[in-house]
Amino acid sequence: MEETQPQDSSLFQLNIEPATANTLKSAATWARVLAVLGIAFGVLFIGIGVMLQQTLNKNSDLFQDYNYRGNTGMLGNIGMAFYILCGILTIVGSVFALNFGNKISTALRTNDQNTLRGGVAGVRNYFAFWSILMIIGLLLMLLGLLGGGLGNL
Amino acid sequence: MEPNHDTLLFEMDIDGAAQQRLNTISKWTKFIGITVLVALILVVVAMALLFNEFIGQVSALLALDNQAMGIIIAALVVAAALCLIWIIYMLRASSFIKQGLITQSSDRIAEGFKSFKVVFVVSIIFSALGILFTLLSFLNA
Repeated sequence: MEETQPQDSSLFQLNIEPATANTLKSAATWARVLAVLGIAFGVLFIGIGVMLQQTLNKNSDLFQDYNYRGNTGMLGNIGMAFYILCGILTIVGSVFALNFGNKISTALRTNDQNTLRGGVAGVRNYFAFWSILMIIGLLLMLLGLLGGGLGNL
Repeated sequence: MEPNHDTLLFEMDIDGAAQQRLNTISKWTKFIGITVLVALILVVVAMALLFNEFIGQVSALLALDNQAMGIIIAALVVAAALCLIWIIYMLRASSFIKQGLITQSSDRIAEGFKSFKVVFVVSIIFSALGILFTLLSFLNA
């Protein structure tokens, strides 16, 4: 396992050749497009959450005549909180992608080592962010399954 | 005068810190790829086992005829195929970056970023479809 790790002694041997730079530039461009779409998606989610909450609050009187268990206003607030959370998470993830795209493009243009390092950190943060969210999602799913299993006992 | 980028590019290195970050990227992307692959397999197996039930419930819920159901199934198959491409390229990127770091080959790292490009493009398709469907369902509501 140890020998598969990059060795410190061989560091600084990796040069960025023109072909590699072009590939990096192209990946950065697509990452920027993805980031812009992701930010738009996040804003849309937040907007829809707010509008749904307002609609549910406005129409809550309609449900008063029914033997409706629960509070429509509260349901709207929970829905809005969920949509806003999803929107914010999408925007945060997209900002990392945007960071990667912008920094890599700048680094290749200005030949700046620090900015290149920042760009690589951006893509690392992007994937780490989604991985951590995935782990949280898996844990919640596991809790749900356990809860469902215990409920059936 | 425009600077000559080609000559400047040779002066740039992927230094120690960047290599450490690339190593972390390789690990996270491997994790994402394997997790999504397992999730996709589980969803496909569940849908295959409960196919008739699923078709019956969806067509009853949305009051769809056979043709509309066919379109939905085709869309699901295309989505699964896109998802599979996304997973394959994510795992390829992870593998190439790892190999590039071990063998100190910038070509391998470039292959890794080429795979990331495909991952980003497929993600863009999913995002665009997501925005479209969200807007459509919101406007129809």
